[in-house]
Amino acid sequence: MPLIDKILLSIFSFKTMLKRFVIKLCTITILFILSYLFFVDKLAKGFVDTNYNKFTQEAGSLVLGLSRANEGISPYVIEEELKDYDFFGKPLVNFALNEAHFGKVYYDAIKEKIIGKPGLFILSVSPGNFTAPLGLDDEKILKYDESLTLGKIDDFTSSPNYNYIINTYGAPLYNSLHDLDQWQHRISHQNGWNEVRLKNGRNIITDKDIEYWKSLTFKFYNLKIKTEQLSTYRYNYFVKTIKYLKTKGEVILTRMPSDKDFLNFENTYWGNFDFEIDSIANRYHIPYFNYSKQFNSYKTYDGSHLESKSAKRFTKQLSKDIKVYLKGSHSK
Amino acid sequence: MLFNSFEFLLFFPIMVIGFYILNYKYRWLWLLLGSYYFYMAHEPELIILLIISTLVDYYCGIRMYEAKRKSAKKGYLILSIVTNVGLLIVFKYLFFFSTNIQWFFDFFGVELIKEQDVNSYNFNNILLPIGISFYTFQTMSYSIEIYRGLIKPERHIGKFALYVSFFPQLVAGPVERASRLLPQLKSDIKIEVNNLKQGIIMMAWGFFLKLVVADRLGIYVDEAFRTPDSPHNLSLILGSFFFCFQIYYDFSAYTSIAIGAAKTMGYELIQNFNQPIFATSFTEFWKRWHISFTQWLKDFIYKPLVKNGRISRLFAVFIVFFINGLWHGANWTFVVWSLLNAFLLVLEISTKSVRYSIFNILRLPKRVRELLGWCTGLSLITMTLVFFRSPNLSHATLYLKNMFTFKNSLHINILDNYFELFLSFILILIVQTIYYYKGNSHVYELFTERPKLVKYSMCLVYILTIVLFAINRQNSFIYFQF
Repeated sequence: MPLIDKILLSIFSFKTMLKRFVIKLCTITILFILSYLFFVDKLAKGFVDTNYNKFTQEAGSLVLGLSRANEGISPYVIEEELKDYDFFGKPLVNFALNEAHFGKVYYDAIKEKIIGKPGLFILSVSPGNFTAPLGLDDEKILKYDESLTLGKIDDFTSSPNYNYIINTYGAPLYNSLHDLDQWQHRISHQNGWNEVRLKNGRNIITDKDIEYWKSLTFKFYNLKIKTEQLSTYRYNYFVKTIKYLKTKGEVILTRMPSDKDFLNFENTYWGNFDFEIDSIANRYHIPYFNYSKQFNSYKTYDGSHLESKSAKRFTKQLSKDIKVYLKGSHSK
Repeated sequence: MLFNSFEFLLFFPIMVIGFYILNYKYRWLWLLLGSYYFYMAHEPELIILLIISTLVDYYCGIRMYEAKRKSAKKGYLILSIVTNVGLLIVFKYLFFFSTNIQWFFDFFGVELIKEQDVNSYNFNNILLPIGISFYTFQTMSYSIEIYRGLIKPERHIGKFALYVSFFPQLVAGPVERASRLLPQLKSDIKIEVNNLKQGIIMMAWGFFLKLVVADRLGIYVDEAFRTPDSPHNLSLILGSFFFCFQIYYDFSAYTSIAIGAAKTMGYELIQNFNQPIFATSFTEFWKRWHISFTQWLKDFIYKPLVKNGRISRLFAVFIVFFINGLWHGANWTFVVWSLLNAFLLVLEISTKSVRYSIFNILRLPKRVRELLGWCTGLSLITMTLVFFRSPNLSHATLYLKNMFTFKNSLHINILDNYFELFLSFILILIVQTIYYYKGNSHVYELFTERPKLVKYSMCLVYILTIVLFAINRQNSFIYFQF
């Protein structure tokens, strides 16, 4: 007797009680799946998390980097300042996030995200972009990256993005029943920018809060320095990313401002960082705008990340410098 | 493969359906292949260690049984123990031992390894095979029981291999004895609705414990242990209290899923817990916690040590707890945690008569004595667990120091989410109430002994609870690392 007949016969020759049990079990399973999908869909229609908007549309231009760029570079300001240029037929998306170190995972994600050309690509760099956990070889760094947000998903552009929610959303789904899960000071914009306001309604971030958060950031930096190391894998992929982006449009490198203590910390960790980035910029004929020493002109809320007003001012300055560069390079 | 993964949700029904479709003569092969696949889903190459352990113990078991001379029997027993302990030393403890030896010589200013050779002796990159502590101890118990004449060796290599690698209990126990599990694996099991029902309910309970309760408590615990120098000592106290419940529920969840998965195929695994949180003394706690393993330590280490007064009971307790600590992980934190428990256990036993005299003078009723015992026991267990959870000893001591340093702060809402905090307490209360009335082994009665309408409503509540309140992070079980 063919195997399939045997299986069917075995299934259908179950006693009535067993049949009933199997039917009940199937009903429960279906009910479970349906209710899960229902709440995932409900969540997708409201606030998901601060990264979600980065994964819900195709982009013509991108802001790339880690959390500093995520909170400190506003696509609205750039679009406004550079509206005379032919970059924004497709949206400019802030695709910078905490875990987006240079590597194959980020590189592949960027490739998936970009559509059309020419685009504008702003890469925010700091020593943090080039670190990986201690003792990992290239293969293990890749594995490590694959275990983080970008590595878990393969859909970077759909709206609603169920792939993102199912694979990365770690909080309970009861959050789909309300829209209040945000930190009151943070506004997650549709274009991926996460704006942090010092004052939002009656909620105010005080100087005391800022001092405390600075101490936490410092602690985090100290921990990071003990558990991470600079990686050639990341450096090589940084170069590879630049090469790829150059085929898609204009590439701009920038080092964003942070507090003086943090700049000193980073410069102790990687003394000739600016020199090396400058060399790469020269090699690939792209500009490197270094604002790291302008710590007195901008305000952070934790020593490392710009608050809303400073973020807008910084983006405006960056846009102006880009404009000057573009004028210069176009006239050539 | 994780129990709480999508792969397992596909793998498990296929295993059960295949199991019942096949003639019982071939079921061992089906389960063996499934178990190896289950193991290989994580680190495929490490299956070789499981196979080595299986083959050595299979061979030693038979030769030991057939050997006439006691010395020959002993030789095969030693071969089995050396192989299994050797695997553990190489794959679990080599880095730990080497760094400690290095530290020891450094302390006395002796250069053990030349600086240029250090990289050749770096054992940090050796992969820890999942479940190695469980299956090596399980196979050792098989050899020791044959040596003691308690069981006969299994001649069928496939069925023996299945005993070592049976997937529900392969990576985190319970540590089963051959005398219990092997006969079951050889029997012709008929499909029974009750087994399926009980098994699936136990699994569902395990998933609830893991996804909704343990992983939720874990978020608070992670945050509390991230900042051992926190100025909020109440949050540190709560962090260690939650960890006590997190580790219990996490391990109990794994055990429930393992017991449930085996039950759906008609097999009975040993229950690892017997309401340990309700223990009114340290002695009682250790009789109720991780039963299959503590029983192993008692039968195969403690009893031989104290037999014929070889060494004092007190010393034996410390040796057993030292091994218990080291078994949990290659880190002094586990050793200190376990030795502290040994110390408290010995202290409790040695002060028993004094305490009873005081209780009698004060005329304390039995209930009050039990309550005192419970409060003291739980608090001390919670405190010792700080060592278990901390990454190193200095972290643990800093945590404990700050736990008891009141800095004028009553802040406990470290996650900035009162609802989650409240929910955590409620969930602990619910689980403990269920365990109080049903025990760890009979949770399924909650669902089976009800009128139809109540059953359907409970089903619906269960589905909504899992869908809405589960923490979807696919965290592995804590005991996987051991």
